[in-house]
Amino acid sequence: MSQITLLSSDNVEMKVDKEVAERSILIKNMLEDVGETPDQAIPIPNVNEGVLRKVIEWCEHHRNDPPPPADEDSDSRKKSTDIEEWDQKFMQVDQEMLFEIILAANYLDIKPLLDVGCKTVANMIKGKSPEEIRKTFNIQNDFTPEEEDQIRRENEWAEDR
Amino acid sequence: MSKNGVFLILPTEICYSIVSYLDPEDAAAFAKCSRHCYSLTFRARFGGIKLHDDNYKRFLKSFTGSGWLAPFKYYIRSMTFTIFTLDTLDDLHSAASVFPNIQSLTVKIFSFSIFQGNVYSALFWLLSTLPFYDDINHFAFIWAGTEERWYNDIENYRLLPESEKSTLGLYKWTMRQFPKVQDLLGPYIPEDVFVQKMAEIRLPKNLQSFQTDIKLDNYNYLLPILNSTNITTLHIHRATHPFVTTLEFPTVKNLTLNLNSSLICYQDGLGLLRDQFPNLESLKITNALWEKSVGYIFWFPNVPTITQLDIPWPGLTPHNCRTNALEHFLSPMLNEGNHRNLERCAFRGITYSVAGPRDVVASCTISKKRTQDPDFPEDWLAWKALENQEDLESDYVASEDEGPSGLSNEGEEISEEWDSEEGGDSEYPDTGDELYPIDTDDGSDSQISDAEDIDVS
Repeated sequence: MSQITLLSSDNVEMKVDKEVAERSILIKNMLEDVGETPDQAIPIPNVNEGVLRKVIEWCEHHRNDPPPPADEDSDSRKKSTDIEEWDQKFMQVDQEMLFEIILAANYLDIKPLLDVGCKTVANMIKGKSPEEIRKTFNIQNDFTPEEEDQIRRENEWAEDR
Repeated sequence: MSKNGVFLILPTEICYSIVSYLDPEDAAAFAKCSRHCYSLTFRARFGGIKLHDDNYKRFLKSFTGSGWLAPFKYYIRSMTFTIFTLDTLDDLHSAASVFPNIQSLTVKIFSFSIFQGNVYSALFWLLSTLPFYDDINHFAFIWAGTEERWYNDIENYRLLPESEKSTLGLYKWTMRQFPKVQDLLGPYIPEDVFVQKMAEIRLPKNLQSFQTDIKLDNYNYLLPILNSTNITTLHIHRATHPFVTTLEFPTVKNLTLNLNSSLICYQDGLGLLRDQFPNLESLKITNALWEKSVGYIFWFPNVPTITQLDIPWPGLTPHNCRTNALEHFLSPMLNEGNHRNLERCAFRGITYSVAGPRDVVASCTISKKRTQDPDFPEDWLAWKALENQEDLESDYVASEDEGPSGLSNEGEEISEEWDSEEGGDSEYPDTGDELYPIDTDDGSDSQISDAEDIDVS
């Protein structure tokens, strides 16, 4: 099986099966444009070594997954936050790494990984009070008293979708 | 990672994706964390705004200029504006102007009945000056009128000269309380001129759905619809029965008639709909009673184009919900009438138990497969007797525990509709509807007769 080399933003080279790397639509399109397996390392400038290794680990595990259905309607269907067990364990990382993985999945165009990341964050929000969410994600409350009053009166002026 | 930066470092589209996995309660909690969180959830949570002439200035301030909600005004697609003081009618225009993407507009007005015609006429003129007027696809006009002679100072009214007690005089006298809209509303519009005024109204080009909840002395209020080729949905509250008008609405495919004060449906009255709405596909009648000459007599509206029917339970109350009996009762009715296109029929009613009144819905999918069961009674009185027979084994199929999700697709669909439109009618709206689905497509013995096997006239 042919392999390619990826170069992280901190200049670390990593060999990876082409099939695994092609879970990234960005890399897949890049390889298709080149037409043959490149001799030189492919630079991934936005992703550092640690994050890239995690992303490759995910791609290795999911190398035989069927491609995701094209263009799912994100608004109309009711979304499930169910995550398969392996992915749950994979996402048990510190918050900074979690967000870096999400950013990397977005940059590398790996939609299933991006979805898992988003679901993980959503699950971290679920069931929490605003104060607990602020604490979890280190969010600063920047509402003015007037704005807070308007939010309290949401039912008076806002119509649900 | 920087303070407050977790969500700030993620591209907005990713944040939207995260928010899309949250249910409304969690999204609301997340929104309350910070301005940025609020902005991320706004589009997913809200699509409309409801204002009234008392509070709108306070809330609109946030959506205008450098207000903190100003960027979200583009997400507002629907607006409900309530006017308690007629003098503020102009405010509707200024409020709507803030939201350039409004497609659905509901105007509720509380005022004196005598102004209804003038306001209705003036309102469309007022709204037609909005830059997005032609983008409006749903418009609802709700009028809560008060008889002026009682609302105004009754003693003063008695002291009025007789000339001022005429309709014209009363209009002028009442109008004195609303100097700001005198010019906008103009002089009282008598009935003969009203027809002409209605014919002049230009509805929005993209208007597809029109709803009225007004005191309908006559149906000239619906005249503007005749000038519109796109209106397919008509929703009339406080409708009379029969729905008497010589007007024809060939574009209307979906009609809801919420009858005024539990009117009784007669077969002749329902028959008129065939001429008034020659292309009707979906009909919903609410707040109606069936004719009570011998027991309660139920009539299928004989409109051959109808595919979806939603009507009150065929009786005073659905006592024991004998849905099997109901199916077999429907069979001869479908034989006799011209209902070849009917695909689905929902019956709604309120049943009474020790726990109090409960909403019930039976959803019937009309089978095209088989004929009626010859062993079952075919006439109405026999069905009524069956429904009241306590010792008959009940085919009562749904319980609170099962809930809509345990039922057929039809049940779930109806449940949503019921929640949004009719839930308030029940004294116990939160305990869930009892649903009695009659899915007759499986060829079982309890099927409604087969339209294909029936010689449908």
